[in-house]
Amino acid sequence: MAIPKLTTGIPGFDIVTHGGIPEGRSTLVAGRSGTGKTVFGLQVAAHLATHSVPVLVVGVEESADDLLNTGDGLGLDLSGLQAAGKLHVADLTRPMEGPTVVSGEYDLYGLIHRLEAAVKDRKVKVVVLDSATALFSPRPPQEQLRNHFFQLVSTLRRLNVSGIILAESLQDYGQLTSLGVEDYVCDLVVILRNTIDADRRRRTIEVNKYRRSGHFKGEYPCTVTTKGLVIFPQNPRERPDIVPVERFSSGVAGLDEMTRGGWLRNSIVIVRGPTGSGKTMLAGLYARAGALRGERVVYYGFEEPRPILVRNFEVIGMPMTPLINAGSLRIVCRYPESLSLEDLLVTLRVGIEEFSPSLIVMDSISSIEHASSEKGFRQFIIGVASLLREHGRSALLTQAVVAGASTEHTAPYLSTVADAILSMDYSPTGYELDRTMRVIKMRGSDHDTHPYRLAIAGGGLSVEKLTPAEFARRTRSA
Amino acid sequence: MKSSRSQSRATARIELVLYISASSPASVRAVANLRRLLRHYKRGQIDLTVCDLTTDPSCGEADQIAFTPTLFKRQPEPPMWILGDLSRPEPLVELLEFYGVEATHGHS
Repeated sequence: MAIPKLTTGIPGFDIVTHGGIPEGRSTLVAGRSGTGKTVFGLQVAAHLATHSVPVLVVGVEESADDLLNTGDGLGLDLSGLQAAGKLHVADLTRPMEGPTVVSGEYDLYGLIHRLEAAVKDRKVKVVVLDSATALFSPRPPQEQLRNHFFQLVSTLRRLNVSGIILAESLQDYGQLTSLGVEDYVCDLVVILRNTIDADRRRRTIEVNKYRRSGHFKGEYPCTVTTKGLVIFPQNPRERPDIVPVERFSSGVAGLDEMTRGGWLRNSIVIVRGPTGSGKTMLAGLYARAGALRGERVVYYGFEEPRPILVRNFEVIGMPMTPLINAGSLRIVCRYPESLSLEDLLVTLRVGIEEFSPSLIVMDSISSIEHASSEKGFRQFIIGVASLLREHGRSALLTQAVVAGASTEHTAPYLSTVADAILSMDYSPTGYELDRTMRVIKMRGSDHDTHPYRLAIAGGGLSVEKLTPAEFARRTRSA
Repeated sequence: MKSSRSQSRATARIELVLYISASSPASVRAVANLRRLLRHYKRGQIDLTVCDLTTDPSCGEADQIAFTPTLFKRQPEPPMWILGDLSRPEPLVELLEFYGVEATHGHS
């Protein structure tokens, strides 16, 4: 039987934990300083308090005012929840100027009686402790520390309170917490990390253990946004509704014939080709056709600044400005080097949630690839795919490859993500560039696998099927 | 200058609060240890309150009490927290002597 859980409201967290934190048990959130532990605690506190689960936040590291300000700054409205009596803050900070000395044995009854009172008088169901590390300072001898912590967790359990206990780690990998006693008695252990990977800061979250519950294994990318922690579970949550087969035009007449009627709705198309093969133009046509049909489209450009991209489209006879002004097209240009991949995923998520586009273009994913580690890029692509699947959106991603290699083997994670792969290529040997286009794969649809000749003309692209004789002649000359 | 400061120290009132829990054996020992210790000092300068968190859990709120027993020196500033059952009396003895609390010479 599934154990009872409380949702946290932290995007992605309830997915990796199969439903949230264990109800009536304790959760340990461990991480070095600056990994977002407090943000995690406050976000869960606000989410549960908003859903009428009374919460007590015990602040030992920061004063009640500082915690409330932090929460309000994240848009959690902790002050409002406190005023409404849904959230309570206990301030256990001891000012730096006042020393604490030890004169013999002591126990945790001071806090325990307060917890009992909070449960009895305020019907508190959840306690966030920020942090165990600060609470047990000065640090008692190890055995005593273990007893104190055990007493705390067993009190929460006796009171049927869900505990969220934050604890400091000294390093990202290695001993879980500096106290070293917390994880044994907690049912769920979560590790937050903030590491450097190929010169880039990378935040991850890992469910280290979850008693009596399944969970996602391994580290998942996360980021701290102005609205708090966001986790990317990289697991496509398929939309439950069965989508009827629907097609839409690629914006290129001949290409629609190659695909027997256009791209499939809710599919991810990857267009591969060398520089100059017409990928950006194809991407622009995809966006334009969608916007002209009355769909909402977001075009993410990672190669050039926005004014230049818009001007280039204008010059080749594909004016975008009227569509932008009509509100059906958004062009967003970002330099991948200046953003972390997690922030980029947040940009995409926010874009999808706020603008609700049905078509998304990313030109090109290669510029992102060049600005990240292999592992980071792989996680990013899987994150993008999860996001698109979760929201049931169609997308076109372009990828730069060297000339002549556009039909070659694709990285496995990319081909898994792509519902369709289109290769665009050219052979620079003749007087004119010999351009070709070929549908490499297309899931769920018949398609023409033959090569097509591609011509770039003002206002668009045109394709025309090559005869076997023509193809043979071209191959010979190449 | 120096003498006037020690003068004001000597006359300063010392406000102590002993936070205990009836459920805690260390608290029971702290009460006994504190009473025994204070018998050696003139009490005129000392205000002592004992707060039992079992009967009034919120009485320790203002003084950030998490552990019992805690002897809290509220006045004079700065505040000070002495955790534990006072089986090691030195921290309290040093504190009383710092504020010039006079010892009684009678036997206890």
